[in-house]
Amino acid sequence: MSLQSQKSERAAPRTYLEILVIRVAGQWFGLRSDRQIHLLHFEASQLRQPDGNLAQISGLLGELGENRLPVLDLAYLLELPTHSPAKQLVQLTLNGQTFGFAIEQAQEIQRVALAELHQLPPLIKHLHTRAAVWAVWQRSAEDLIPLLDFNFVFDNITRQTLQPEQS
Amino acid sequence: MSNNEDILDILHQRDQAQTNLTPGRKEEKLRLLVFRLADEWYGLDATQIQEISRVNQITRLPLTPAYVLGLVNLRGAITGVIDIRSTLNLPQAQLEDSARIIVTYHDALEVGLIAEAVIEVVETTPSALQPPLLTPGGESGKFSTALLYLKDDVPVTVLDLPALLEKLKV
Repeated sequence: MSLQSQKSERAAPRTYLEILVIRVAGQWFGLRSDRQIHLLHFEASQLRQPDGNLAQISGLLGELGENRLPVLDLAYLLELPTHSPAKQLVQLTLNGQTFGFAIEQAQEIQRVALAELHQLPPLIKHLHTRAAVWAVWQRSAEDLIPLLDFNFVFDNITRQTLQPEQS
Repeated sequence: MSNNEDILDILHQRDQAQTNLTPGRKEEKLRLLVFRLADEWYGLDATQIQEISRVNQITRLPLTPAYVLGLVNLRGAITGVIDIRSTLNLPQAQLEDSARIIVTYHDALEVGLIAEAVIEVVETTPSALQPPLLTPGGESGKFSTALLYLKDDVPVTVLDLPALLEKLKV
């Protein structure tokens, strides 16, 4: 590879992220959509009671469909008061685990320039009880969208399902 | 060293000693921003304050303590907003139009503190400050450096911003 072609590759880094904007507990949040994400509609009546280890997971609403997709209440996981009943879910796979997260609403996936993203202020970052927000998108002058990091949810789930069942 | 220089040196030292002994010599000025929380008045060293802003839209952050009100965008700078009333053991009241965000800066940390109202900026001297009141069960004394009485005997608790921020971090 010539030096010139190396330079041109370096000169074109990605300058944007694709963000899915979702509403949870009456507030907008963002989610990186370059992962395996699907949006599904569901009714509460379609959910079945879970069994086994999954039943221990806090915030679990039930299982959906033949594949028994575990559906979690995202407002509950974020310790936010439920605003209106969830009718959509974000299906997300991380580290080989797939879960559905119940949300109130989703907007279209948007391309967001990296320049519009801000880190959390240091003190606030320090005060997070769990690192649920990794950055903030400044969508407009007054509209800030916290970008969620779902790793904290998956870490929690893994911890809960690995715990031995209480007799 | 010449005789003249010796004399000048002695005179300079005398002047210096005289200045230190003169009771009416100019004392360092101190500017305090006075603001209200509950029914009490508090003060912050004006040099620790970057700006004062109206309370517009605050974006809540999940999984943070209740005293973290959220984030605001101040001309492109994302600033965290903290309610120190619980830290000072003060009652929580609904914020009204008079509420302001006092953006403080200390040790590379920029933090917005909620004030129920900003009263005024007062200019004083260190000698006018009194030791803070340490009342039993009172929290504000732990986070104050001094007490200042204004002209009409209104007490202003001068807050120790570094101590407050340290407490919030724990």
